[in-house]
Amino acid sequence: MSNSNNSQDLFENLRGELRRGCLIVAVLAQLRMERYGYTLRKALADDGLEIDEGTLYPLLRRLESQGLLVSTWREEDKRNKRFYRLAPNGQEILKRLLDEWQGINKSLEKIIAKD
Amino acid sequence: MDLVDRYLQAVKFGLPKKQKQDILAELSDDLHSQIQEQEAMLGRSLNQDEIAAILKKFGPPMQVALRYQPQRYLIGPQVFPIYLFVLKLVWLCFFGPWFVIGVALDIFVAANHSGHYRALTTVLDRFWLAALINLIVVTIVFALIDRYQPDGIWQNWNPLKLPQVRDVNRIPRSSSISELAWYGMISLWWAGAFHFPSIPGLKIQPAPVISRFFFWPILLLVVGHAAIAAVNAFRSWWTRKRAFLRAALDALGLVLVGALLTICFTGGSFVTTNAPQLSMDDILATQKWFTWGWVVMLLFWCEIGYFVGLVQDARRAMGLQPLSPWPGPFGCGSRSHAMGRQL
Repeated sequence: MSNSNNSQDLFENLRGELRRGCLIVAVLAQLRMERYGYTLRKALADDGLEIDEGTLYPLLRRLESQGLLVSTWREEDKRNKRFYRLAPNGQEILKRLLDEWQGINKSLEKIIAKD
Repeated sequence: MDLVDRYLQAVKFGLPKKQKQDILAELSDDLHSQIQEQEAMLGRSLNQDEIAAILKKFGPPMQVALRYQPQRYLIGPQVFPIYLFVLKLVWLCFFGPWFVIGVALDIFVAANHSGHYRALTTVLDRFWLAALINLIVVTIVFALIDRYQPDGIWQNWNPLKLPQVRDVNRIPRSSSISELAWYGMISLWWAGAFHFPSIPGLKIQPAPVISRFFFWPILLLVVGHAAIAAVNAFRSWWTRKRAFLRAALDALGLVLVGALLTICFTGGSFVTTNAPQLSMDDILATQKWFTWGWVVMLLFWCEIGYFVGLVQDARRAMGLQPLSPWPGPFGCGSRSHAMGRQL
């Protein structure tokens, strides 16, 4: 029982590490189009990448403070919403990150194919 | 919506001060969007339980708030291993001897007053206080080092200047020489070749039981150790034979110290004092100080040291690696550095 718990915890930790970098790329890619938090989360979930609010909003703040995103408050559906989109610097970084990701993906596919 | 407001109020407590209102507005919008969507699906207002379920899924308020805080630590991961190393070093080199000396002195002072137990507790109280202060000071120093370390300090390193790989088969010559000096001096003193400076009018001699039963075994022990250290200084590789010899001496040391401790704990004395100008009480106090002072040394130093030495040397004699990094008796490094050579 304890071993299976440990194994599950270990898997969750490793899964978290694996997802962390991918989520950043996914968020940046989704924000090529302007969105606010709730619709961004739904868009990611619709594409199969669930992310909880507690992770998404601090991430958006961090990316904005790093100059990769810009945001503005605007009223929509009678409520104030914060809209995010990719900053020019974010577009450049996203392009490089996607190249990197594709390189890693190709390498991984090669490595996995050997088995 | 009272529940949502209560939830946001709880989140507000842990948010960074400057961004509080901004973050709360965004979280509020997300929560209301979720509620609105569910209400649209169900075609009615959500009840308290359903709103509570949404909040529960959102996460504990403090956890949600803390994710907005920058990652903070007192001592960073790069400096932390050095911090731990220094703490260990300070404990080993400062508190060990301090504890031994402190216990010995307190027992001496308290010998005629309120007994050894009270003296020991006084020392322990002071010991923990000193340990706490030490921990705080070292931590503050390393927190400052971590905070103000120059940029790129970790990048300025040269692979050519890395220390040589430590050869665990070798006995460092410096350790052998210091061990030789220590045991040589003790041998000469024990054999009566010289005397330590004494207090005028106070003559302290080994008790008859010590002279009669312990003189030759102790002389054998210290001369034996000195001889092995002398050989080690010139042949700085362990052989099974030499390790076996030293293991035998360690075993002898263990037995002798155990016997001395037995004498002490059964009320005997290690010394006799001859001082015409001192009262009988003072003479007894002096004898007690010597005896109990020795006990502390024997307990915390020799007995543990010989036990460790016996284990390590026995492993060497059997061709096994010694357990690292135990120090040997009298702190001589050759025992911790050297190992059983695979013969």
